Amino acid sequence: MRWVGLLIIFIAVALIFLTPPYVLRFADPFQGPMKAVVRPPPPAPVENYVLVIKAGDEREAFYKLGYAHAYYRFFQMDVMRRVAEGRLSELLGEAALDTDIYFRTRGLYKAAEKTWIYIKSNYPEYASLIEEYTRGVNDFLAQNAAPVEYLVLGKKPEPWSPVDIIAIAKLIAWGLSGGEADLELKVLVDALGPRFLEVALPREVNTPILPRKATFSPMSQVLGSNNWVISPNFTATGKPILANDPHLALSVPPTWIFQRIETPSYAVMGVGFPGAPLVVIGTNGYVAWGFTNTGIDVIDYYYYVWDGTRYFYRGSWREAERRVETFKICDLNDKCVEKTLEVLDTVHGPVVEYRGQRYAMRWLGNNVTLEALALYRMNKARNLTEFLEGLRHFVVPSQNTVYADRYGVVAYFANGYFPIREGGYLPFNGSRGEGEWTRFVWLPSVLNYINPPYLATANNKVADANVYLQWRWADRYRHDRIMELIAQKASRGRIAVGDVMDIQRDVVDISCRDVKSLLAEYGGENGRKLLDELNKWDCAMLTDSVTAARYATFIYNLQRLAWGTFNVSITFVPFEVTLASIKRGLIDRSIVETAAVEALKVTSPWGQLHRYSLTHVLGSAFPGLNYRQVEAPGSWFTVNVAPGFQVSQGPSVRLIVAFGEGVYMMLPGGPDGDPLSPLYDAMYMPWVRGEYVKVD
Amino acid sequence: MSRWIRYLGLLIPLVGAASQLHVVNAALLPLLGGLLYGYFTERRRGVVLSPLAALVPVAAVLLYYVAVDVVRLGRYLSVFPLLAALWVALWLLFFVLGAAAGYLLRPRSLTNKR
Repeated sequence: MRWVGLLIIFIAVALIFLTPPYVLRFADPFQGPMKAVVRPPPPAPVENYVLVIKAGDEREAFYKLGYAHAYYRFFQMDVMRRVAEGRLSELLGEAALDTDIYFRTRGLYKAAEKTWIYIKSNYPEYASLIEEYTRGVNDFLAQNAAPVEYLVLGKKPEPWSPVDIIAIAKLIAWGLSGGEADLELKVLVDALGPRFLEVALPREVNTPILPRKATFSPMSQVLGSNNWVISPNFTATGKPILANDPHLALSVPPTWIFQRIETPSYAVMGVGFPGAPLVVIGTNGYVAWGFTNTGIDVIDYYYYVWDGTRYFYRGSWREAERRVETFKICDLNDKCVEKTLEVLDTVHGPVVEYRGQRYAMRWLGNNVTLEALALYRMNKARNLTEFLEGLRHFVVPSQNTVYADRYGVVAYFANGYFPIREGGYLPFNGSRGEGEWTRFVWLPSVLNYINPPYLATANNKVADANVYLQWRWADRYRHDRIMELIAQKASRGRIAVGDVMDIQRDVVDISCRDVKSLLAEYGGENGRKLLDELNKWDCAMLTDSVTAARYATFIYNLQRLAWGTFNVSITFVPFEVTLASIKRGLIDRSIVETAAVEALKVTSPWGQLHRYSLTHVLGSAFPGLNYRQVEAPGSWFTVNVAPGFQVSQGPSVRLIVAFGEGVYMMLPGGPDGDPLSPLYDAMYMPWVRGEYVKVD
Repeated sequence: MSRWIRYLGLLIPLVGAASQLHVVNAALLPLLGGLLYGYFTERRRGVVLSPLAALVPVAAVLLYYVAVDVVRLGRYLSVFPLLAALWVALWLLFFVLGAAAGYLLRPRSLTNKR
């Protein structure tokens, strides 16, 4: 029988060495993922969901913040910098290669490197603070075991660098001001003719934030957000209230971390991106500020006559600059293969391919830009003048900036810089020298409003202007609803924090007013049936409403039928443009009745079709990392926005700064990115329910 | 003495706490522990009970993590249930294979007591 014993050992050993190494890693209770159960105590406390950094001086504060960000969110930081750098497939394998090619080609990380060199030579004191933050991150990595995600993936975290901080800022800026809208618009114009531009560009029915026309002197993604300020004249405390709920991708862990940094010279609190030593939206007790995206167009595409790698530009042939990018793709066993890609650069920027055609891309964010410095100064500002000194450095992405201070001043600025050129909504003929950027305008010098009674922004049109700013302004519904609610509440008395919370939670979709007239005009028999139902409805997108489900299904199908055939995203064209296109006959009007037929088939309440779906980067392999799916109220056009059916975008934070009363907030998730932490999803359900926590 | 020596086999997988190698910790040590356990087991019933015996080091590891941080352990088991199950399954598999092989390889003098 001994030979059987030997055979069993042989089989067992063979089994061990035939098992993929990553399986053995998963099953190792000492050095595998289970090791993460052991975690050192936090370097800085989270109090009331707020990361609190107390320091004797600014350098210490930056160091501690770096250490704490790494402790709570390093994997998220690493993913973000790798996306910007185009090195995600080293961590996540082949599935991330397309993302890597996309971002490496566009050169975000190169722009971050240039920016860091510029900061070091021009702002050495600020550079030294960034280096302190970096030292904090790297000390955490050197002194502690890798976070659980690395134990799962079998990778070791690489050291942090100051360039990574700037790269994250570039990535956020790209998400809010980059993209291929010009190229997608060209697809529609090619299909529908220039008449489409007559409908799309003016956006006549959209409500401008600024009441007056903006004049620019000629010689001198569908993410949305809400913010508003209410002047002291309308508030219960007699001091201003500022509210902001920026709509970003809802991720696990949340995009933001809420932090309070206290030094002897200043204290600032608000949300920041893990990986960047800043409060992006918040208050320091003197001033408060909030952002929504303007979407002002700062990206252009250029096509040329090509001859191999030579392109024709303004009367002569030029050789494109060539760079070879090497991509490392690593599997779960950490075996890597390399792929190379040659990227061309022209005078306008990197060459990208879109539907088989080469375009050079010029994006404002690929220049040296100093948003980090801007926010650093804004964090320390004590009045509007100092705040504007900071804002002057903020180049991209252009933001609707609302401002309030303890002295009672409220203000609005569309910030950032705008490149003056002829057009900008369609690709330019680069060979002919079209679309050259002639100069830059600092937008707050033109687009501002000091001390409005109250003012709201929701990515709608900033102003009617004498130049093209952009055409994909968000539909006016969220903006108009906020203004309507503020007016209603103001007419009943002074506005309190509770009123502002109600506005942020509001789920009434006032696009129903436009849809009712559309159905009456073009809906046919089925449209009238749907209209009868809508007439009995209050347009509230509540989870238990079947009519809300039918309404959303109608909107979805109308967009799909209108634009799906052109092979562009169905959310690419604003709904107002869809309505105008139908009215003008650019789009077959029978789609209105077809969409109504689809809507009438729905029998489920809205909450059954419409659920929050917040996922972790590794969530497809390990579903336990995702937050649980729950019913979502709201829709594309509600103030409490919840676009789509599987909702993965929405208010990335709800923040209210009420001077004289307090600061309130809620994040869609937990402050701690460690999935084994009880704080991992601590704020998720309170956020779903629209609750707040008072943090100051 | 042999009757008690086999219980040392239950401790062998825990030696992995000092090892950096996944292959050692996830498979080779439980195999070795099983071999020791089987080799010094006097009755066939002991081999039949080896899956239960394999749970002893599993329980020891869990107790260690309970002592370290019971909340985090609970979350680990709920977030990564498959990884936890994989660990237990591999330890059981290799321990039982080791126990069976050890039992068959033991010296004849021990088999007389079957």
